[in-house]
Amino acid sequence: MKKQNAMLIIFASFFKSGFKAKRMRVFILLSLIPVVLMLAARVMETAGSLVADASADFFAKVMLVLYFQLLIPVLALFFGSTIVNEELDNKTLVYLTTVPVSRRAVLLGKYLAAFLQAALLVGGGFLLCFLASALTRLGEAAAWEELAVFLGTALLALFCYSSLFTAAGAFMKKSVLIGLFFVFGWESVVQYFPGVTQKFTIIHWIKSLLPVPPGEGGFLIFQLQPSPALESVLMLLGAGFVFLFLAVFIFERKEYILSDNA
Amino acid sequence: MTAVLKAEKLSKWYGNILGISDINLEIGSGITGLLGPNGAGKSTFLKIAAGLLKPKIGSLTVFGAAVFGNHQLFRRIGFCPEHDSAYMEMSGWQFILLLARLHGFAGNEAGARSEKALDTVGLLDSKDREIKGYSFGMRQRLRLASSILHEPEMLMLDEPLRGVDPLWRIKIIKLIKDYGKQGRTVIISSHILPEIEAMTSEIVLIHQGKIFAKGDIHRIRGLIDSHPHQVSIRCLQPRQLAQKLIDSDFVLSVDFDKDGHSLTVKTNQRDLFFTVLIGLIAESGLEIEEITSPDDNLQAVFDYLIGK
Amino acid sequence: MKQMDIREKGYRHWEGELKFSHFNWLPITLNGVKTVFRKKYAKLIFSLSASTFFVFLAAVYASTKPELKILGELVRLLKSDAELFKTFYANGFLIFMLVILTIFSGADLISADLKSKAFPLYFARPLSRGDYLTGKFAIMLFYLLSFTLVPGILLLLFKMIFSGSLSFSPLLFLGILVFPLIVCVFLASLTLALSILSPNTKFIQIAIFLVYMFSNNLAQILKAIFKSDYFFLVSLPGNIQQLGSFIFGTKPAFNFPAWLSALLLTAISALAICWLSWRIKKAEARA
Repeated sequence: MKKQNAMLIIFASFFKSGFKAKRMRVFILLSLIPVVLMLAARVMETAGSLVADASADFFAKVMLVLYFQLLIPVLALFFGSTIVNEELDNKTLVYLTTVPVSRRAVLLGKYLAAFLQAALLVGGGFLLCFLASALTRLGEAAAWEELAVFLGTALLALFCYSSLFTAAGAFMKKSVLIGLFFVFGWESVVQYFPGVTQKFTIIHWIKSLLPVPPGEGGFLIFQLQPSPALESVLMLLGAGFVFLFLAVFIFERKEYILSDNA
Repeated sequence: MTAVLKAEKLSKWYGNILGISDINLEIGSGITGLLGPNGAGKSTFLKIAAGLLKPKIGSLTVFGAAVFGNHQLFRRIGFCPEHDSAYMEMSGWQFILLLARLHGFAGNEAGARSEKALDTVGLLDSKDREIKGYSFGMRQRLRLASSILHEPEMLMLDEPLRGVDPLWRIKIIKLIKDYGKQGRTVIISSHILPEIEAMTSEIVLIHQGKIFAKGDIHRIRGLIDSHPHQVSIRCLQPRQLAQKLIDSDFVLSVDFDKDGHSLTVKTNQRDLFFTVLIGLIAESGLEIEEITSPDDNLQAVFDYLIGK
Repeated sequence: MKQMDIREKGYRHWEGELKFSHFNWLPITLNGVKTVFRKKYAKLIFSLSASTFFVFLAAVYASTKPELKILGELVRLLKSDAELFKTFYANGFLIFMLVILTIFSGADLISADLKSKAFPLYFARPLSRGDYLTGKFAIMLFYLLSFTLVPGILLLLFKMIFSGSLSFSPLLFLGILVFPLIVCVFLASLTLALSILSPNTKFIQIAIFLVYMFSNNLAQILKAIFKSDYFFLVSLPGNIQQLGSFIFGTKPAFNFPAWLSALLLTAISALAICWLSWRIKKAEARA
């Protein structure tokens, strides 16, 4: 069977079934919380309880803190690590590896489905937040440019994180804890260190793309020394593809033992 | 016989736990029963044959090719796993249709094959129900359907009758026998010996990761010379018959059953015993009601071979 | 005929005396503790969780030996015993590791039972809902208290040994006992309440972590916009820090009454336990 067709069949099937899963409702609610906050800030700004343009500032903070430092890594961790691990836990991997479809196609099909689900959650939330904050500025090109930058960076971040956690999930069962340590341990701590150490995190390259000057938003950014935008894009894309290649490499060669203790 | 499956010096262990050890085996067309108690290594062997595990030592080929990583082989292989697993949120139809499409069948053909597979296992009426609403036996039948939908040349079934009700047992056994008659290769693993006996006489006995015996069950039994055969004879004059038999060298012992109408003879030369017995019956005119061989079955052979 | 002792909780009436035991939950706990200990990465997580104790132990030692000039900043911060124990218990790293511990030891406690449909196994035995919950709670409390209460008491002991004085404030000792108990009961009840939501353990692990991180981030955002510290009532680590200030009588980290955090954490624990009890009742009825 043609690789592309198999991949698409797997993608379509798991994309549909992913949205029907109960946990998706939780993720949708989670993605809507920033929207609710954004709407509340907008209403308060209109009512005069907040200074003018506070909602624009709020939008930037919400994007940075809630999306880039929390929701995106967590969604990527969940969706990425469950690509292989869920099949192992449910002992359904056998059905995908005893058909005339390469393991590469299986993994990539599932990855595409997971990535698109996460991207829709994030992108949908972003768009709604943007509309809430920039309702009066929708005619301005700058507002849409800002949205494009945030959205583009979010998708790059999602791609890079999800590829990394897909590789981790393909390699080990306890990838969630490792992922949490990486994002909220290593990446949080390294932000205190100046110099080249920061470049060994994904968040550094993400923040280098965002329109927030270094040193501002004290509790958000510690010692960001941003890298050039093009370099950041290439690094995120490159790292993402490397992790994805690693994930495929591992999945093609590793034997997964479906024990009863799974 | 052209070997469809060939294992050479095949060994597999999980850490310190031995799965299978030094298995040399060739399996051709027809039905072969893989027998052994729980933990014998049957599932390990089948999983290597299905490309789910890699051998640690040795090799296993199916249709002349290694299985692990060779996804094209699965056009010709069907595997029914032992684990009770499925995509619970899907309906039976969605599950089978997905697998049909992954097998390369498109559009109408995928639908037709899915329908046929579900009908064969009696799940067509429940096809639109979510799998989580299926009973254990229904999920087992669904797994069977997933392995036969592409009509493979080789079918590997790991405990296919577990949880299936008696009526469907008979139907599935018939299905498997039909597969064997078509010249396909079927390997069934089970620890339920009467089920295997109902399907095939060609067996491979596995225990503690090793093959204890392979071949026709009756031939295996015959080869076990050191273990006396038992023959039970029900007749109206058991003591008279016993008198005539007791002098023969190949009769090791004669026991009378409690009911007084039958005797059990132990002999180490089964064929000679039956020849002599037939002659005795013809000469003496004794009325024989029934002759059975209580240990000429798989359980007895198995128990003997594993030293119980 | 001699009457038998009956230990059966079926739905029929028996002649005989039903025997109660207050320790029906113990086998669940012992088995659970051993299972957690045998998990992969257990020793690594335990080592990291214990690391705060060793840092503070070194600081306590350094405070008695000023000539050593080590950990000066930390020693200066810990001017008083109250400050020492409040900082020890409510420091960010320890709270983070406690959350990791709850994920590691508690996320699958009930979700794994849901996945493997183990409730009929439990409730076909003479086990009450309370026994089941107590058993699960005790597993989490064992590990959480091992890295909070036990090090706290050890820290006090070592402080007394290093300073050569056996005197200590009874209120401080009470605080050393009460604070970890409240925090650990809160974390355990919250974790178990989340664990019963889904048979997918990974989802629960992420949910627990999201509650921790999201609550804190949300509080920071709301504070930045509305300029009020009251929004830190939403933050899990924020409330734990305020609780520390309340119990040890130190300056609160946030500008709202510290007793509110104590009340909130207790209320959430109580609600979580009620929710758990109700869900287990449903599961028992189905079993």
